[in-house]
Amino acid sequence: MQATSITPDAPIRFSVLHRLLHLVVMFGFTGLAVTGLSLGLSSTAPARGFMWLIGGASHAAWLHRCCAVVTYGCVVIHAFWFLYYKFGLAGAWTGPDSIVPSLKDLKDFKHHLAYFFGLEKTPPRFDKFSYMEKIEYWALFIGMNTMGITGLVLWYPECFTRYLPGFFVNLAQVLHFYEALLAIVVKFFIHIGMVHFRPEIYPADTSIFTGRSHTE
Amino acid sequence: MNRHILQSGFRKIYRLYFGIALAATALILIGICGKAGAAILPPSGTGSDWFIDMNRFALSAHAALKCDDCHGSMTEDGLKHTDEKRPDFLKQSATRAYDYARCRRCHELSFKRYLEGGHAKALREEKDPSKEKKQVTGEKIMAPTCGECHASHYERSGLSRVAVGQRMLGACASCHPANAASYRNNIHGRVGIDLGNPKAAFCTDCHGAHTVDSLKNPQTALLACKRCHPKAETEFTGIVIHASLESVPAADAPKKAEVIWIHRIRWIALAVLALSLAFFVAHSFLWLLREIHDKLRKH
Repeated sequence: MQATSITPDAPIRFSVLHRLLHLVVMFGFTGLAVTGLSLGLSSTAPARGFMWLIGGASHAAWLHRCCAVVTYGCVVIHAFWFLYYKFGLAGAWTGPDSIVPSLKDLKDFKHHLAYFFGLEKTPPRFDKFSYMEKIEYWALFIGMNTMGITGLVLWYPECFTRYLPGFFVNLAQVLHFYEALLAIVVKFFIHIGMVHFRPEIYPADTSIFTGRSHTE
Repeated sequence: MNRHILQSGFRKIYRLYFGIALAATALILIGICGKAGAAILPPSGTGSDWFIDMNRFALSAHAALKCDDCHGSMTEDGLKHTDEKRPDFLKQSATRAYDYARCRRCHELSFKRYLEGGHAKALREEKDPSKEKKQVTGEKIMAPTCGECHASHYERSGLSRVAVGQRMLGACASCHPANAASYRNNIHGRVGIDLGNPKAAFCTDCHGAHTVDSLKNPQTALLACKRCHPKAETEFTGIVIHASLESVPAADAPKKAEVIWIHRIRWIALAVLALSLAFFVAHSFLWLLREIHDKLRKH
């Protein structure tokens, strides 16, 4: 099924926790995307039709908030895991297995661009996480938190307007919408396209589900 | 022989499976299209003029009334129907010519509220020659009486809250198009008009049915907010519902500044979105091209 074969004793790339979190976020994010977009594009026929199918705007709001709690819960669990990794397991912040950006990422990026234009024969040898994966990881981490905060403002406007000017709720709505558009396009098109459908990997990279790596 | 029967059995199961899948998809699509078609807005305005469509009148809330219940008898006040002395009568607007004080006989409370409200105030100012004429929007619009918002001959009773709300938006939009547009962009308009949720707030739920208050006073606005948001406090009324420059009155400078900030943040967010997507799309596109090139060269 896969271009590169996976041997049963291949190194573990993603632990059980990470695989589980990815799976939950995958469904939570999709739920957030379809219910949120149906409200954001509510004047279009497909959005109205979908809202009607799931039982109207009240149910969509309920579903959106459930998915939000589950998805943000995964961020919190991941943050706790990060603390455990640093202090419990005394793991390293930096080094080839780290998700933290390093100078090597810049070199890899330059090398990769040179490879795109045929100036290099081979792509760069990435560490455990390539610069693209790091960009996606940190963009998602920042995005999840801004979506969480702006979403909470929109969920409880009565509470937040006790401390903030009223038009901050409008700003939260604007930021929530554009951040959502960015996340949806990047995750559904760029992430899925480049992780699974690239000729080198097509039809799918199963390592996030099985945990087994097929490189090295 | 057995294998043949088995194969044709499988084929039947496959056909059944695909048949059901196709039918389900078709049903969903029909549902989506039907639902989408149902939410089309009625045309703005009331459609009232001197000529009455009796088929539509027969379906209206006033169908049980006789003509002279509202219009008086043919010889009332010493006038004759039709009046030869006033041949231009039909050239004036039907809604401006009618004496809507007659509505009071049946709609006492609504009429009382109308007299206390913003529209009646505008009408008094319009009739007062000493006052300068105020313009609600660019073109000159006359202050509304009953007939400007309600089609007396065609308005139906027993409509759902959402249907009334959708028709109301059309009526309000004929004089307040910018406010109607910004409302439709707001969460209340999206949920109420687009998605047909009866819990959403329509125009009169905040502004009052016949009192039509502008809600410039935060304390009045707070009372309106509290009908659905009981925990709201004064600053809650600072949330901009009509968030477009056209729907904020020129005199309200602080609100204008807030709307300008909302626009600025929107442009910044849009720029970040466009730049990020440009990077991701260009990077992915080049990567794909290169890998396809590598694959083709190996063959």
